Amino acid sequence: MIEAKNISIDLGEFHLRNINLAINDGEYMVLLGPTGAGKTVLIECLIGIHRPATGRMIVRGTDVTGLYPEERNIGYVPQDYALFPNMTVKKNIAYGLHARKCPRDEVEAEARTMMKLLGIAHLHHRLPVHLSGGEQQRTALARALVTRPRILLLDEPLSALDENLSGELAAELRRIQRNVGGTFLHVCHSFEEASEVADRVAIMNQGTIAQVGTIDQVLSRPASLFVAQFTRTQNFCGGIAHETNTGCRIDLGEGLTIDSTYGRFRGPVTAAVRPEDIEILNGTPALGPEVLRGRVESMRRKATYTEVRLAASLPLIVYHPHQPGKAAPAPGDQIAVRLPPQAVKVFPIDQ
Amino acid sequence: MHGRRLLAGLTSSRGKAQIVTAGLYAGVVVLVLGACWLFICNFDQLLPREKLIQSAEMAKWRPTDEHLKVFAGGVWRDPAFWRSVNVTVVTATITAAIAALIGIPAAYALSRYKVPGRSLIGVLFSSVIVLPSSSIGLCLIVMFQYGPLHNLQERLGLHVVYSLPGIIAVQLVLSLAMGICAWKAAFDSVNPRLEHVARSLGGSPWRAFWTVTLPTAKAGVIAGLILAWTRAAAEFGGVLIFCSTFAERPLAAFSPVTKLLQLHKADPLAVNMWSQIEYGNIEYGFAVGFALVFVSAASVYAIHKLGGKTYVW
Amino acid sequence: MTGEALLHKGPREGKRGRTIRSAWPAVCVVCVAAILGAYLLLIASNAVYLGLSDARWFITKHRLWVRFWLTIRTATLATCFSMIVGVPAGYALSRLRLPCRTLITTLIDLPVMVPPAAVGVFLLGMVHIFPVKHISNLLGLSFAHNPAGVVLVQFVVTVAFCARLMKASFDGVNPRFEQVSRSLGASLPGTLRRVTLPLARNGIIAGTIVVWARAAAEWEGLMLFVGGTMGKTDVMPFSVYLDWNGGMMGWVVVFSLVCIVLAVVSMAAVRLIGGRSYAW
Repeated sequence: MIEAKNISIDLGEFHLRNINLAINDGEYMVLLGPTGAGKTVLIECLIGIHRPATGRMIVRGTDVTGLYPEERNIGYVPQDYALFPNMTVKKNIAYGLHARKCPRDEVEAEARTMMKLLGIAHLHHRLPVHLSGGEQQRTALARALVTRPRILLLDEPLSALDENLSGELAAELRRIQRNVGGTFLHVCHSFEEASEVADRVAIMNQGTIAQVGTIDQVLSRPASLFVAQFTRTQNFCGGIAHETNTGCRIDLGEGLTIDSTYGRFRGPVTAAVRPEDIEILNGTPALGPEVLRGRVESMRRKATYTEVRLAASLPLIVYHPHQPGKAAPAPGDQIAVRLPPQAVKVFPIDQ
Repeated sequence: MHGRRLLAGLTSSRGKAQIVTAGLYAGVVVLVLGACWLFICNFDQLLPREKLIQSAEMAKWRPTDEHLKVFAGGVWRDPAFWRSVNVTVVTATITAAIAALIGIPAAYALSRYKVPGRSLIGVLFSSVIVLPSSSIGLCLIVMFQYGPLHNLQERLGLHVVYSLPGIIAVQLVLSLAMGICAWKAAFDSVNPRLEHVARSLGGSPWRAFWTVTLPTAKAGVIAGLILAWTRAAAEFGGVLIFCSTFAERPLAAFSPVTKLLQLHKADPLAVNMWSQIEYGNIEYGFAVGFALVFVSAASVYAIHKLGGKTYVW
Repeated sequence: MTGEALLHKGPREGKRGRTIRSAWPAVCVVCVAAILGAYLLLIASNAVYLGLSDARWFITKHRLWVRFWLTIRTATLATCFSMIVGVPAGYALSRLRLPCRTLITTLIDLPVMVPPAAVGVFLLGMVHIFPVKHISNLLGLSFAHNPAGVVLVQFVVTVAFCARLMKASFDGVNPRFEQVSRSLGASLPGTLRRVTLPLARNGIIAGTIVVWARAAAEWEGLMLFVGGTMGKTDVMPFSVYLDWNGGMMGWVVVFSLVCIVLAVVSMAAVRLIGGRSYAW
């Protein structure tokens, strides 16, 4: 278990305020957030480059807050991989073992095992400048993993790669993590990337942690408006909420109301629904607190679904999955959609 | 008619651009030609010319060779010249070594650690580079003959002024300043993340520096070393004031080590050149000057080959 | 070996049981402190030797001010001439495609690295030949025992240095700006005037100050070329040497102090203007 308790630090441009994060052993946790949220600062505190003003970091029972980086045994793969340019791949990988004064034959054996595990054994004599992006990343991973760190920190490992490659390497990272049974903390700014690899996600905003949970938890119950926006929830609208037996009813003005079972709220709120949660109904069902009718304004075809913009009583974006035999609605059509109460998320406005 | 057309051509926008471009090229041409001419026009001083030593002062310089036929183009036949070269090389090398030993860690600290007052320190180091050498020589004199270090010297039985360690001290002042500027720039060019990774892998700060930072900054560090060495070898004014010319000092003033290395019989090259001209042996002085130019040219070439800068701004 | 649960084995400790804290950072900081202390001692010892009451007496002396203004005047004049040649040369070196680039840059770097005493010696030879002789005849100047000689030496020593500094300033201006300006229809002189020079302004001003400081500190070339005529050619650094030979210790220290003050003030000005763009 790796814990960060009450970490605070002020570095001028970037700061952290009261960070509390617990990562379980063997877990793949992703640290998400927009640029400037403080993700890299948190990583650098964990490694030991910055000393936090308050708080402690406990790694597998040892308090590492007072230790130097070389004593913490935390692996680090920075964004530009930072492979030592004057050493071959093999020397890069063996660096940590040499620093710990391991005997030469052990160093050889370990390095060779790790290179074989990551599929770079054929590159052992090359210099980093002659490696491709993916090969550099694997070398950096091997270098960090060979010293058996308690946790491996990866700073935006896939940001520099193009889409196809990053998808492949994301799966690769996941496979390696499962194989070696280690704890990974992966930092990125893209929710899509996170959903491919994460066991749990921690979302940061302006130096604080907004929410920690699995992908499903974050998608279905975002803790704040920021988290909902960050996870690509769309269809926001403001209204006044009144409590009901099962949750609340939100009055959006002009006689429009929607139901929600998200929780009991009262007063000014923002409601949000994910586009994929909205059902497109056949026929012409009766209007009600769940059903809205409107005209299709425009459509954008994506790879596996069509994004439909609806001008109903309030503007909506709906995703229509491509299904054989079922045509997508065309612009100008009048269609009815249903907003399931359990899919409507509500956030009080004073947040 | 032609004149009017020419004027119209010159004042049109295209013509103006051509004038400006010509002016830009002219600047470079003047510089390059001037630099060449400065050295080339003095080549005739190297032509063979026999000249007997006439003045008594000259005889002091070569106590064993009274009627040495020196022609400046063949200055390399004169053992006094080689003794001079010897002194220069030895002192410059020692100075460069000391500057590297102290200066490289200092440059690393200034580059990586948050030393308080970094801009003030920068102003101080830059000022030392721009200080006239006579000022530096004088400050050293004040320090060692009248200042706090005088008593320390007396107690230790050293004589720094007018001796070989004195030459090294003077050369060290400027050598250090230039070296630190160059080395700091070299370390600045190394990505600090490399050291973070090295430390996270278990390397101590020294190991990270020795195995990662230094090899990566190798070209810049060596360029800085060459710069420091050349600056030390070219030091003239400070040495003149702090140590004056060795030929006039009695033998007893030199330490046994200096006498052993035969370093007390000659001055560093630049000082030698000046003495020769002062005493009237002009062609010899010019030849020594050319030797200095040769040394500087070799350094400039070496530094350019390594990709470094020869100036510190 | 499949590497199953490799990391569960626990971290590698190696032979080193207890961690040894490296002393390297401490060594580095000690070196900085030592060098700093040495330089400060160097500069301060002058001031301490002189004492405040003596300083007040010297400041009132005409002898000091004659040489002070001579230094300022010659250095400023030499800097102007250097800039006239140096700024265009710097721009050409930075932007234009020149033939034999490495040879040219080596030749331009040479006068910077050659000791100024040697430059003075070579000037001795050059002054009797074309073109300098003709220029001096034309202008009715004589270079020996004359401030004009001082300006000449200062100019020769600083002009290549100036070109190098200006090149560095122009290198700091992204050529993209000039390309956009030309594409919008501005001519080369217009672009230079409205885009390049304003952008490089800080660098050029800071470079001018550095060149001025270098010219004001020049005396080794003067020794051999011009000779020390009182009141006409003994700029302050030269006066230090001349008075030292004459044994006038007080004057020597005063001149030296003024030189130090000039150097520190100019470097502080450079720092304030140039900011981050220079080595520190």
